[in-house]
Amino acid sequence: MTVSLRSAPSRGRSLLRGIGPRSFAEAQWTAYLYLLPALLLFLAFVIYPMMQGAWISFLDWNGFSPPTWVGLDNYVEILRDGNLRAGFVRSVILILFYSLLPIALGLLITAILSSRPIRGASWFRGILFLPQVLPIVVVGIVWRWMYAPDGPINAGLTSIGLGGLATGWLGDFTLALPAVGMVGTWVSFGFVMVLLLTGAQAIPSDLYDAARVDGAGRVQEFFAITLPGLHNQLVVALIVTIITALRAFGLIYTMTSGGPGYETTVPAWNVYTTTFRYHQVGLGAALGITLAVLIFVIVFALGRLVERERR
Amino acid sequence: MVGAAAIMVGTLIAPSAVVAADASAGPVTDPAACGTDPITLVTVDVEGGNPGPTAAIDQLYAEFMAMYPNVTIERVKTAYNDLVAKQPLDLSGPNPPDLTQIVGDNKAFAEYGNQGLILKLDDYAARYGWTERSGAAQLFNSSFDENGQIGTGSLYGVPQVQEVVGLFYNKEKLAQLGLELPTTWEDFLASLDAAKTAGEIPMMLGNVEGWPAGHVYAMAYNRFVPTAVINGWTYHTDPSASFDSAGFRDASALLQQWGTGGYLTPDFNSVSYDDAWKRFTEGEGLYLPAGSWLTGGIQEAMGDKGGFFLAPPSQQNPALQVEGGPGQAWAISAGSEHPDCAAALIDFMTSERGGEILIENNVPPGFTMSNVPELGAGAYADLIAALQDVNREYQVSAYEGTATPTIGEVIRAGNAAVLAGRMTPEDFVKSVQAEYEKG
Repeated sequence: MTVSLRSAPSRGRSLLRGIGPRSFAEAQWTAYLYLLPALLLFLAFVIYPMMQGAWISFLDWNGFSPPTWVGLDNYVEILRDGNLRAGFVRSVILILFYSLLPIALGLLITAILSSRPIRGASWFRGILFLPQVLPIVVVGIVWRWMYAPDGPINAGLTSIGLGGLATGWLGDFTLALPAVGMVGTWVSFGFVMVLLLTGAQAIPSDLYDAARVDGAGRVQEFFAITLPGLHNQLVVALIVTIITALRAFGLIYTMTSGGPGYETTVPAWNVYTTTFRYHQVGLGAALGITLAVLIFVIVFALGRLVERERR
Repeated sequence: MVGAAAIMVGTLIAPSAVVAADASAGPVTDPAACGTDPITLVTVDVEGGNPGPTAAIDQLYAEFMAMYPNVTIERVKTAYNDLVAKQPLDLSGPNPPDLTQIVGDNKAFAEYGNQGLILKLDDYAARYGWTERSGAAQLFNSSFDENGQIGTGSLYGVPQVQEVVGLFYNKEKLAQLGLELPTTWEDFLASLDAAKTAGEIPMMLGNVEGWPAGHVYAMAYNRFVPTAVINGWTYHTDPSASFDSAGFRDASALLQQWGTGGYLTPDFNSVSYDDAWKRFTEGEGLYLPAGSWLTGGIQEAMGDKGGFFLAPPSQQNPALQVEGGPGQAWAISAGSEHPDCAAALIDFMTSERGGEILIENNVPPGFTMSNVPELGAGAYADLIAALQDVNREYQVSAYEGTATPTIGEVIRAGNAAVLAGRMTPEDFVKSVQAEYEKG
């Protein structure tokens, strides 16, 4: 795949070289013309609102009264307010549940299933992918019921004699964030699994045959063939699930409303409450911009890391 | 009384139905208000989830539309927190509702008025006599001057109901425990111990939303802190009033004792408000500390087995005082094309007939009526009696969570943490005062 990507531009360039500089410029111009409709939509619905958000983040504004310019005050407030800062720390904890745990589990299962054909693979994938298809609001409401003091999880624990562990999961100061995080794991896992299984099927099976001939064990097989073979899928899984974790809102909204106390208050929830409940639109925008920049930095850093490894 | 009411409805409906085009006929309060052309009034309220109030509003609208046949009322029901989020957009947008309940903190209400998003109601109040009917205390929160100072200046809203926070109780359970209804705070605390010893849940609380514990806390701090201090702090009229003081702290310590000592519903931070009060009506718990807005639901479910009383005074603070105040005020948006008709609807909602409809639905009217119907036993009759006491001899403490836009959230989060033993009462009152000083 990488080979074909690399060769494509060089072939294109050689074609253009034959046509000459004048028509080259013309061709470029036409190309941009074709891009124009998409570009306009992108400018109108992505870039413009983002710029507007950035502008609002420098204002003290309740959404309807005349705003006042406050410069960087809103950003200073984010740094100063312990609860807002703590939200970003909770996001990092959620990454553990939304991203790392599903990938670890996914790799484990892939390691077990790889190197031999999977019977009923598509059926299996469909089932695993189900949580991804469900609207997050449905997922949140169902899990809130699962976690309720008289819900199925506690009933299950009691029925196997572990009634002492039964508790109000989402109202418990220690357990609420991990409980929400586990739902994130449940949702992400299917996506990660489908990605990794598909990737594993693309690894030529003769590599495994060769390894076996050389006397490699399952663990060696995993590290020498499966893991490097899944490199691209892992990068995609990491980036997508980390973004999902940092933007987590739906589950918080439907399951805990940021509580108990502030235990599940994450940045996206703060953006919502600050903007819409407290009518501090400027501070809310500043939080949103901070979150967006943070996501961009993490994704960019991941991309760089991957590039370097590839070389 | 029910018979008399029916006769009255009959006389109201009949003439206007016969002469539909001529709305001036019959005992319509203000025939000119809605004209004769077909018009639609859009109203927004947050009562959809409260069985009594929501039924009362539907009935009021039906009777108003019968009186003014050219008027169609389009009712929009919104959840409280959703309306907090969209009210600024609602009112400043191109299609504001004609009539809306105002939600959120006092500052937001004053901003709507001073930014010209809702109308001054002084002229309507003078024409219809709203001030006499509702009384200064009911209208206090809905009046403000151009600096946003509450309790003075012009009138911008009219509340329909009056609220107090008190204690619902299970009469059978109280008798089983051999207890009398407590008349002092100390007796009340002793009754909690008695219930706990007998294996009953002393107080039902569902606090997954965070705010329900606020009313339990308010019940407690009203036994420690005088109303003048609470209101001076909430309305920013007394610079010396501080939340970081002994009374608020001691009340928070009591809350912590209740939360960590098994005085409340198990796993209260995981139980929803609605589940808690419904479980109370099904026989769980001795008391339910909550607001009068639940009376309709509790009366319906428990009949004369349920009761209501106000938390009694303590030795420390012997004043008769209670948390409460007006319900959500109705305001007319500045963008309404039919402000006179909207005002006529407010007038009807707070009229003698409007009061009867509220009472039929177990909702306490927030205005005087010349005839209050006979009531049977149960929580609703107790509530009406309690409100008469409140209006005669109690001081009413404001909802402290309306002091600033963000203070409510800090109190909600703090109470949950205090109840769970995760925050000391000292830290709690300090955090609230610090947030207050941010404005």
